[in-house]
Amino acid sequence: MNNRGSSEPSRLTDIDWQKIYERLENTRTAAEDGLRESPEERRNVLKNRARALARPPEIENVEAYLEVVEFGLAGETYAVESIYVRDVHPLKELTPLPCTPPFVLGIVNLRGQILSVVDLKKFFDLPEKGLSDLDRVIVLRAGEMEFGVLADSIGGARRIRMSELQGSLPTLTDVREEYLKGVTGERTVVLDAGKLLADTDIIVHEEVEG
Amino acid sequence: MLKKVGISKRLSLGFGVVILFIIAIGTFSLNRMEVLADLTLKLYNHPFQVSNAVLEVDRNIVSIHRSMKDVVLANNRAEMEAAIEQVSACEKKVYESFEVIAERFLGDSGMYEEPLEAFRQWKSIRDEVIGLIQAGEKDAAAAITKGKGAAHISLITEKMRALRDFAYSKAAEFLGDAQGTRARTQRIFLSLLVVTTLVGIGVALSISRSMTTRIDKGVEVATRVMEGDLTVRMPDDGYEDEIGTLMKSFGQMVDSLKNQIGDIVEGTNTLSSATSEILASTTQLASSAGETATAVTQTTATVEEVRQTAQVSSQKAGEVAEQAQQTAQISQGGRQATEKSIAGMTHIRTQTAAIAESVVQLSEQSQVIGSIIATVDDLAEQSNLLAVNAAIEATRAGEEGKGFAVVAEEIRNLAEQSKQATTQVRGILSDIQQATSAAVMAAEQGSKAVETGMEQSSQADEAIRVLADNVLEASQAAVQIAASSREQVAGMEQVTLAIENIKEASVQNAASTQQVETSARNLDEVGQRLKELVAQYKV
Repeated sequence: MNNRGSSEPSRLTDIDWQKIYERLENTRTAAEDGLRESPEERRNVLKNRARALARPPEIENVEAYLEVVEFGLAGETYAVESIYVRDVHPLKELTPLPCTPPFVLGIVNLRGQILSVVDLKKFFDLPEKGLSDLDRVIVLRAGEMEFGVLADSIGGARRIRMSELQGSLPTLTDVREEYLKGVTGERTVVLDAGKLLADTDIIVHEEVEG
Repeated sequence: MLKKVGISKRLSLGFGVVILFIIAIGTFSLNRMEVLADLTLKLYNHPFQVSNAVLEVDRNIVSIHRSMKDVVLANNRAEMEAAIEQVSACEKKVYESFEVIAERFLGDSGMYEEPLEAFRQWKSIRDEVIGLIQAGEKDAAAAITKGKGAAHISLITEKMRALRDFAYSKAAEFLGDAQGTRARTQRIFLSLLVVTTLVGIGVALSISRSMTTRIDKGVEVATRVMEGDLTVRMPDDGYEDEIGTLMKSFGQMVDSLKNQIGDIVEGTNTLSSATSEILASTTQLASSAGETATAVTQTTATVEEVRQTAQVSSQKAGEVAEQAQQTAQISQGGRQATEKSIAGMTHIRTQTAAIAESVVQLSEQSQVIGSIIATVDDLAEQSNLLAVNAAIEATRAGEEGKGFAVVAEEIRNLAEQSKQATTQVRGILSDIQQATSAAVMAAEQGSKAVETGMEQSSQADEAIRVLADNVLEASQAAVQIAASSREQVAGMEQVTLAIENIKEASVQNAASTQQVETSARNLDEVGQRLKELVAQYKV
C-alpha cells in the first residue's frame, strides 16, 4: 500500500508491477517473521535481563535519594514521595458529591474502598491551562488520612537526588510554597505530600457554610 | 241545366221523348185495335155465333121433325129405333146450340129461354108421339105431330127467328161501333202522329243546334289557329257535356300550342345567339391552334433538356449511394471499436471498484488493528501502573525490595516500550488510513475518469450511429433520387410522345374547327328559317 504512484498520471503506463509484488512479498514475510521471534532473540533478551538482574545494586547514599512517583498534570510534571503513595489506579466511576468544596471532585470506589478524590489544580488554585485527561488516581496515605489525587498520567517511580532539588521560585510554579518540596532540573515539581495529608483545609467538615 | 247534360243523354232524352210519343201512339193504336178486335170478337161471339146456333137449332129442329116423321113412318122397330136415335142426336145438338146461345146471347135471357122451354115441351110431345107409335097408333101420332108438334115447331121457329133478328141487330150495332171506332181512331192517330213528328223535329233541331253552334265556334277557332293566331281563346259557355269537354281540351291544346310555339321562338333566339357564339369560338380556336403549335415546339426542346438533366442526376445519385455503402461499413467498424472501448472501460471500472473495495477492506482491517493497538496500549498503561505500584511497594519494602524494584523498573520500561510501539503503530495506522483514503480517492477519480471516458465513448458511439443513420438516410434518399430520376427520364419520354400527340391533335382540331364553323353556319341558316316559320304565329 505504499504505492503512491497511481495518483501521478505520468506513471500510469510506467507501473512496475513486478517491483510492487516483490515489495508486498517482503512486507508479508517481514510481518510474519516479526510476529514470531526467533529462538536466538529470545535467548538474547533473557540473557540481558538476567545480566541486569544479576548486577548488584549500586550502593548509594540512601539519604541522597528521594523515592518519588512522577505524574503529569495540566502539562506540568509533578512528583510525590513514594512513601506517601499507597498505589496508583486508573480513574473509574467518579461520583461527584454535593456540598463539598470545589477541589473535592467526588468519590471513587477502589477495590471496595470509598475514597475521596481531590483536584490539585483547584486546591492549589492553579490556573486551568492545558488539557487534562485526569484519568489516573494516585492514592496518598499517611496514617488514617487517605485520599486520591487526580493526574493526567503516571510517569513512574524514580529516585531523585536531593542535591538536584532546588528551592522553588515563586515565578517557577504557582503552587504555594508550603506544599512544595522542590523543583528538579527537569522542571519536575516535587510536592510535599506529607503536608498535604496533614492539611486541615483538606478535611471537609460536614457543616455546610452558607 | 240542360247544358250540363251530355250529348248522349240529350240525344237519349230527345229520342226518349219521341219514342214516348210513338209508344203513346202505338199504345193508343193497339188499344183501339183491341177495341176493334174486341168488337169483332163480340161480333163473332154473339151475333155470329148466336145466329149460327139459331140456324143450327132450326136445322136440327127440321131434322128432328123429319126424324119424327121417320119414326112415324118406321116399318119396324129397328128403323124406329134408328130414327129415335137420330132424334136424340139432334136433340142433343139443339141443347148444345142452346147452351151456346145461353152463353153468348146479349139480350134478355127470356128471349131464348122461351124457345128452349118450348123445345123441351116439344120433347114431351115427341115422347107422346113415340109412345103412340110404339103403341101402334100411328095416326094419332101423325095427328099429334102435325098438330101440336107443328104448332110447337112454328112457335119455336118464331122465337128462334126473334133471336136471330136480335142477333142481327146486335151485329149491325157492333158494326156501327166498329166503324165509329175506326174513324175516331184514325183521327186521333193522325193527330198524334203529327204531334209526334213535330216533337221529333223540335227535339232534333234543338239538339243539333246545341251541338252545331259550339262545333261551329270550334271550327272558327281552329281556322284562326290555322291562320296562325294563337291568341284566340275558347269561350266558356258553361256546357259540360262531351262537346264542352272537347272544346275545353281544344282550348287547352291551343294554349299549349301557344306555349310551345313561344318556347320554340325562345329556343330559336337562343339557337341563333348560340350559333353566333359558336362562330366566335371557332375563330378563337383557329387562332389558338396556331399558338399551340408554337408552344408544342418549345416544350419539346425543354423536355429534351430535362431528360438529359434527369439522367445526370440519376447517375450522381447512384454514386452517392455507393459512397453511402462504404461509409456505412466504416461506421460499423467505428461502432465496434467504441463498443470495445466501452467494454474495456467497464472492465476498468469494475477493477477500480474492486481495488476500492480491497482498499476499504484494508482500511477496515487497519481499524481492527487500531482497536487491538488500543487494547495493547491499555495493557501497557495498566502494566505501567502495575509497575509503578510495584515500585512503590518495593520502596516500602526497603532493602529487600531493591531487586523487586529492578523488576518493576523493567516492567515499566517494557510497558513504556509497548506504549511507544503502539504510538508508532498508531502513527503507521494513521498513515495507512491516509494512504487508503488517497487510494480510494484515486480509485474514485479513476472510476470517474473511466465514466467520463465511457460517456465520451458512448457519445462517440452515438455520434457514429447518428452519422451512420444520416449516411444511410442520405444513401436511401440517393437511391430514391436515382429511381425518381429514372422515372423522370421515362416521364420525359412519355411527355415527348404526348407532345407529338398534341401536335397531331391540334392539326385535327384545326380541321374539326373548320367543320364546326361550317356546321355553325348551317345551324344559323336553320335558325333563321325557324324564325321565319314561327314569325307567322302570333303569340
